[in-house]
Amino acid sequence: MSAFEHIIDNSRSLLASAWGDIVDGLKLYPLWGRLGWTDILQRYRRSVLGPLWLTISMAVLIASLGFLYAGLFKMELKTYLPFLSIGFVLWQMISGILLDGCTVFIGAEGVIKQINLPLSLHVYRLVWRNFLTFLHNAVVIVAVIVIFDLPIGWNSLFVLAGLALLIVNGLWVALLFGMLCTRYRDLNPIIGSIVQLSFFVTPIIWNPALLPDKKFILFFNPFFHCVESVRAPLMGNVVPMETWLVLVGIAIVGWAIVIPALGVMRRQLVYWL
Amino acid sequence: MARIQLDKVCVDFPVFNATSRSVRLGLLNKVIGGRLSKGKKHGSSVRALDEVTVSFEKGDRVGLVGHNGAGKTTLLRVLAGVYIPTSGLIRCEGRVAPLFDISLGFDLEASGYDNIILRGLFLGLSKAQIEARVDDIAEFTDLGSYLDMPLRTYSSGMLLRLAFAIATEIEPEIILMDEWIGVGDAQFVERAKERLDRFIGGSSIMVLASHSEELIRATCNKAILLGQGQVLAEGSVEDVFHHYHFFGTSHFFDIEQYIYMYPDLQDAMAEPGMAPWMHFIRYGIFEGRSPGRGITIDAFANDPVFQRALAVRDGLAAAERIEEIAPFLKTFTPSQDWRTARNLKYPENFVPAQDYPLIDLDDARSLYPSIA
Repeated sequence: MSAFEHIIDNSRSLLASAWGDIVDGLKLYPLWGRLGWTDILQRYRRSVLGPLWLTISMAVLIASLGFLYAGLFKMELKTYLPFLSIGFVLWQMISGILLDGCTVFIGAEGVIKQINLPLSLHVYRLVWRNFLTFLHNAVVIVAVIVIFDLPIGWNSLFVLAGLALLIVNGLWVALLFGMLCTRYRDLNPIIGSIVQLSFFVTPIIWNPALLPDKKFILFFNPFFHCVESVRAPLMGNVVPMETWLVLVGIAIVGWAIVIPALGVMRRQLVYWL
Repeated sequence: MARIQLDKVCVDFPVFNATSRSVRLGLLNKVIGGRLSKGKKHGSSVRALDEVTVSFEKGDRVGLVGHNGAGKTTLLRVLAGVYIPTSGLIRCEGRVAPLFDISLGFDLEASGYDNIILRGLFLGLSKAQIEARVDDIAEFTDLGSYLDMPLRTYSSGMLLRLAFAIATEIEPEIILMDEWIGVGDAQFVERAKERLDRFIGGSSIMVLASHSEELIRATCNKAILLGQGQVLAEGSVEDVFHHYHFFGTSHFFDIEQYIYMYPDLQDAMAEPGMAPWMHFIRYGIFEGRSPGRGITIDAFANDPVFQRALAVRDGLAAAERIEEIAPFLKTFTPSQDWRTARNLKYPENFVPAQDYPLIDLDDARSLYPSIA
C-alpha cells in the first residue's frame, strides 16, 4: 500500500518540491476528477434536468445574441452564428478558469488546512470543472455545426491541439493567480475587471474582418490566439503559424515562471489563508 | 514504519491586516520611497511554535496538553504537513490520517456511501482499496440504512462516527486528532477506544490534542505540555500532568511577587510538595490573594464562570478563567516573555466588577493584532 506513503521532509529543494507538487497532484486524478464533477452536480442538485441546464441556457443565450448582433452588424446568420457560438462557449471556459483561479486556494481553505495534499490538486479540479462545463456547452457548437453544415474535415482535428494548449496555459494561469490572489486580496477585483474588458476587445461577438487596417493589434491579445486556435479549424480555416507559436511560447514562459513561484510560495500559502 | 522527528521547529504566523495584504501599500511605498512601512516589510508575525524538538516512535500515543493558544493545533498541523515550519527540520514517515475537522471533504448532498469513497480518496486510497473496505466501515459506523441517505440528514455524532471509521479503517501509521471526542456518545467513545487500541498496538503513532485530562489519561502513554509554543514538559502522562498542575503555564502568576506580597505564606509554602503556584490554586485563589501581574481577585467578583469554579472548589478552573480574562484587564501588566496567544478571544461572557473594567474591544484589537 505504498500508494499513500507520506514523507514530509522540508529539506527538499524548492524546484524539486514544486515539480513534485505538480506531478503528485496530477496522479490524484481519481480525486480531482470526482471533486470537479461533484462541483457541477452540486449546483444542480434536486433539479430535474441537472447539468443539462448549462447547455440549455447557453443555447438560449447564443440564439438570442446571434439574431440580435447578426442584425446589428448586418452579417449573414449562416456565418455569424457559428462564429459567435464557438467563440462564446470558449470564452466561457477561459474566463471561468481565470476567475475561479483567483479563489482556487481561498475556496479550498478547509482542505488545505486539514490535510497535506498537493496544491496543484485544487487547480486540476478547477480546470477539469470548467472543461466539463465546456463539454456541456459544446453541445451547442455541435448543433450549430450540423445545422449550418460547417466544412468539417481532417483540418478540424487541430481543434484538439487548440484545446490542449488552452488547458496547458489555463493550468499555469490559475495556479499563479490562485497564489497571488491569496496573498494580495485586491488582485481579485482587478483581474475581474481585466477579464471583463478582455471579452470586449477580443473578437468574439465582433468579426476581426471589421478591423481591416489595425489587425496587428490582435497579435498582442493572447485571448485572440486562444480563441482562434479552436475556432478557425471548426470554421474551415487554417490557424496561422504565428498563433501556434504564440500559444506554445506563452505556455513555456508561463510554466517557467510558475514552477519556481510555486516552489517559493507553496510553503507560505497556508499561512496566507 | 512510522516515525516522527522534529528538530528545532519554529512556526511564525504572519499577521496581515487590510493594508499589508493589499497591493495598494506596496504601490504607495514604491511611489513615496518606502516610508509608509518603516522597516516592517511584511507586517508583524506571531510565533506559534518555538524551537520544538520532539520525536515519536511506533506505539507512542501522545497527548498534547496546554491552554488555548499554547500551540497544540499548530503542532498537529505541522505533523500533518499542513504548516511547513519557518525554520527547523521535520521528518515524518508513515501514512498520516488527520482527524481535525470531521467534515473534511464531505459532500453534504451525497449519500454516506459516496462520502466514504470521497473521504477515502482524500486520505490517499485508490477507489478499489476503498471499495474493499466499505463493508467494514459501514459495520463500524452502525449507521445501517442511513448510509444511503444524503449526509445533510446526519447528526454531528453520526458524522463523527463515519469520519472516525474511515480514518481508522485505512490503517494509518500516524493518526492525528484534535478534540475529536466531543460529539460522540459514551458508547461510541468506548468502541472508538477499543479500535484505537487494536491498531495503535501494532505499529502506529497517535497524537491527540485535548483539554480533557480524563481522555488523555485514558488513551495516551506519553504527553507533552505546551505553553506559548514551547515544550514545557515531556514524558509520561503522569509526570506531565503533575508538572502542569504544579507550575501551570504560569505566565499569569508571578512567583516572586506572590511570596513577597504575602509573607504570612512562608510557612505554608515551606511544606514538602507545596509550591507558590500550587498554593495559589489550592488556597490563595479562594482567599482572594492576587497572583501578581496587576491581577486582583476582586476583578472577578461578578464573573459567573469564576464564581462557579470557586463554589465547587475547583481552583484550577478558576485559574484558567484568570488566564483567559487577564490580558483584557486594564490593570494587567504582562511578564516580559509573555506573547499573545494566536487564538486569543475577547471575553464576551465576562461580567466585570465595579472599578475593574476591561479594556474595550477596539483597544484590545490594537493591543493584540491577532485577536479574532
